[in-house]
Amino acid sequence: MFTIKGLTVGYGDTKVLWDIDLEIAPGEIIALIGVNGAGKTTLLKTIMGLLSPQSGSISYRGHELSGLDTHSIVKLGLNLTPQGRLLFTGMSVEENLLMGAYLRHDSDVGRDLKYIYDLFPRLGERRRQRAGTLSGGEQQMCALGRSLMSRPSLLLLDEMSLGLAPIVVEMLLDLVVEIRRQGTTVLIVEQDVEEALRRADRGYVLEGGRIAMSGPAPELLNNTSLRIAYLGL
Amino acid sequence: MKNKSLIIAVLALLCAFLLPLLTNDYIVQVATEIAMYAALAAGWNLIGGITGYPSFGNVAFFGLGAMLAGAFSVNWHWPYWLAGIVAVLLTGVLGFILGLPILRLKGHYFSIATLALAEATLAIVTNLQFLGGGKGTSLPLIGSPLLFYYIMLAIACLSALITYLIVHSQYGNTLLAIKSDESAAQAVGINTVLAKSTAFALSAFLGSMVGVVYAIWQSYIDPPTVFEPGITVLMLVMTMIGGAGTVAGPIIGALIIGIMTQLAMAVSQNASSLILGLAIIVVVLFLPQGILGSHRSGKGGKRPGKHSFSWRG
Repeated sequence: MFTIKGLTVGYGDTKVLWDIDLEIAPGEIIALIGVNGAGKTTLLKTIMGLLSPQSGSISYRGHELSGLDTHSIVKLGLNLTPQGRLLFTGMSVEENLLMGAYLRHDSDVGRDLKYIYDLFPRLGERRRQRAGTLSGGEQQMCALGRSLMSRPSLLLLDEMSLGLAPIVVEMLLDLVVEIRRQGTTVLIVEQDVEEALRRADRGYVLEGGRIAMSGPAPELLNNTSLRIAYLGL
Repeated sequence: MKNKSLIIAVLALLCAFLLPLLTNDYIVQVATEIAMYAALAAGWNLIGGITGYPSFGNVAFFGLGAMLAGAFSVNWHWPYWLAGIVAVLLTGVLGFILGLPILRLKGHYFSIATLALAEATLAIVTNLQFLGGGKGTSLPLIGSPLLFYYIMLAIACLSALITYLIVHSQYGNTLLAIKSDESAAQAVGINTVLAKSTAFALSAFLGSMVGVVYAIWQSYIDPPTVFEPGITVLMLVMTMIGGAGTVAGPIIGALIIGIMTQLAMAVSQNASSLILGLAIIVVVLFLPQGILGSHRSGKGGKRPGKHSFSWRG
């Protein structure tokens, strides 16, 4: 359903991603792992049309994404929860969530808002509070909630765990499993390799801008070189 | 709070309306200029305050409105109202088209590009014979000072009304989102290019409208006067002093700068710019957010507390 073929991306003469091939089937949770600077965020930004590839193709349900504007890609059902949350800090929590439904014109927005508050009761308590005054974990919940408000069919999560306590990270990653159960396909980019792979179906390992390894998540978890490189075991 | 704002607005409008009955021609002249700058500042506020793109070239739209309307009426003998409407519409469309590439730049880069835009427009206008070239355009003397006062006042009110409607609409939220974080705005699916260019076009539209009226009010215009960069600076300073992003900010800023200019002139003709400059520095130092504060600063999240005073409550 989602296919990347021969994708090469760079900033000017500096190439960041080389010849990436990646595939996601509907309903999968895919973990994309790699060290800092491996090109994970660049890959997500390219998928969302925030960067344009130098060559290669990205297709989703028969639509070619490369060359489309970000808002057109969001319209096709993709959504990115960006690294560092990027909330609209001057707006209230509820306004942030409603911004997530920006492209929707159906009458279920109110119901989905209630669903988000059920998922994150803390957001409900703080719905009138400015998003910039939330704690880090609450901000991440708000960012995730904002993405969910667009009812994405493919959700891209960039480094949700950044700067959060392990217990919050676990709670958020458990929610990812719940989100998938509701029918959303998920691509997680994570530094917390073990927690991510435990919940994923398959994983891809990015190294120096290339896919170095891929396979079923349990296999990757048991892979010796991976364990040494990322888990320090 | 909302009712209070409405009452203040109605009272202010009433005072402005009755002002000519109580004062002399000189005051009416000053008040006309204040209304004119209030409208210009409100136009600047749309792109600079609400969208967060500080334009240093908005005078281009003011100048184009004046020069185009003048040229249409003198060269093609159009009635002035028609020349004015066409000039305003053309400038608005031009603002939209120019916005498409220029608004890809951010921060200082955007400011520099708009500065260059205004200078380039001046150079082009000066070299077009149709627009009167460098020697300017004379327009027939019509209307009375009182008439122009009320027209400028009406445009200032229209600018405030447009700002109010935008701020309280979904479109206003869209612009706030762009000001707050443009990448995030794109990520939620906002067509940021379209939204920003529309704001720039509206800003151009209002600036041009003021220019059209200015031209016939002054009855003689030439490019260096109507493309004077200082006009943009005044729009910016007034908006900042009153409160960028707010509805009433640009109007309050125009009032303060207008009155301070007169007071400074009264103190010393020669040192008036110096006094005005010092006054602006003092205001910026002690009220960096402007008098009304930023009604919704896209950035930051001040925790609500006893130190945060907000006009909207």
